[in-house]
Amino acid sequence: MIKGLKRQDRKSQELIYQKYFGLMMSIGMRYCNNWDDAKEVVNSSFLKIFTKIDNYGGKGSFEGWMKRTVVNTALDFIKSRKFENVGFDDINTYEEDVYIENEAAGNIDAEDILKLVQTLPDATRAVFNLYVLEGYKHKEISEKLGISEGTSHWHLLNARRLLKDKLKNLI
Amino acid sequence: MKINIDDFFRTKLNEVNFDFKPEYWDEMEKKIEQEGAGGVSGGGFFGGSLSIFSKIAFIFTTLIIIFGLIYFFGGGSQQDDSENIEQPVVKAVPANVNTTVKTEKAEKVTEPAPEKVIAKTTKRKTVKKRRHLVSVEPYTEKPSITDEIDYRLRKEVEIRFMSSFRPYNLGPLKYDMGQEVDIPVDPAVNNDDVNVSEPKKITKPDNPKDYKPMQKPIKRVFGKKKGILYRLGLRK
Repeated sequence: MIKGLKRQDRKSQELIYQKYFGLMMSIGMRYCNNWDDAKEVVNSSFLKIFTKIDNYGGKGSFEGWMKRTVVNTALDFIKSRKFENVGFDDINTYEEDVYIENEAAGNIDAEDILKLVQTLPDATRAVFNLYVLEGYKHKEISEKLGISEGTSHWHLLNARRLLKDKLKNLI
Repeated sequence: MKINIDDFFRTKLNEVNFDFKPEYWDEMEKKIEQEGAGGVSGGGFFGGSLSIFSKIAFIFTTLIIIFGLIYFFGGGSQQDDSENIEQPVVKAVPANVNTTVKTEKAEKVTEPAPEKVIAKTTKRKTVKKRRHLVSVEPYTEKPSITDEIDYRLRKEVEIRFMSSFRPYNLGPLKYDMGQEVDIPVDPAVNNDDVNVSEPKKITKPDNPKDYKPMQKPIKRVFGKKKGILYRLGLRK
């Protein structure tokens, strides 16, 4: 299929789109707070994949390369909208781990959890996704989003607090 | 039992998946067509987005522009139009001419002259003349300053060459391009070989070694490039 993509074969493009749409859309929905924006991000990502398939050197997995593409596209989309102002008073706050009761939260549906994440502010949601789900460090996140490391710490702490409170309400 | 909130969200969010529907691909295909990205069956300039007539028109227009540019700024200024001009060929033939050799004793001796080179048109050869396509006046009348310098330099070299055959005590040679001239001899110089009473006449040697007759200045064959203002008639 990758050879077909390099030939710009339309059938191969359709097969790739069909196979990876669900995965790409789940990533897009984490970063965007609605279906339409997420779909726009995903389609833009596929367009990049189809047009810049020659950039894929074949070293890592093709799926990983696609994931990075959709994450970067989503971050560009978020940055195109202005971040909300952050209260910098809490930036030096100690970053503490937050725990929840597993028995009660375990019954919550995955889509409801996704909706909880989508309620977070754009920058906070982006930092939470990059740190928790993609495994980036604060320095890398600050470079990707164009913010300071302290701001990245604050967004992560803010996301944990907000999500814990929302989970309590949901339970 | 308590669980870290990061692990909880990571697990739950990885369970999320969305089903594919064919209309999603239709939408994506429209986006690809709009962006003109890839696709063997369509997209791109030569992929079918333009009609055949438009493509042919585009190609012809491009070719006309390219040839026009080449004509004006490149090879259009010089072209071989193969105009034939006739040029006489000089051939060496024995001449039945008797020459008179003047000696010191003023004796007239008649003897057959050595083979001499005279000009005789025996055969006409056609040579190709390169000509400027755009109207360029041929070089005819007044030589340029470089031609004049070239002519004077040749003359100077010829005089020096002739002086090398002359004894040093005869004084400087005054020789004007093959014409006989009278050379006054300095009376202060005592030389028995020279008849002081009569001015010595010298002539240009007939066929000295390594002597090359002066050639005409090389005619400018290639036309001088003219600017765009000249071609438009705005500048002479």
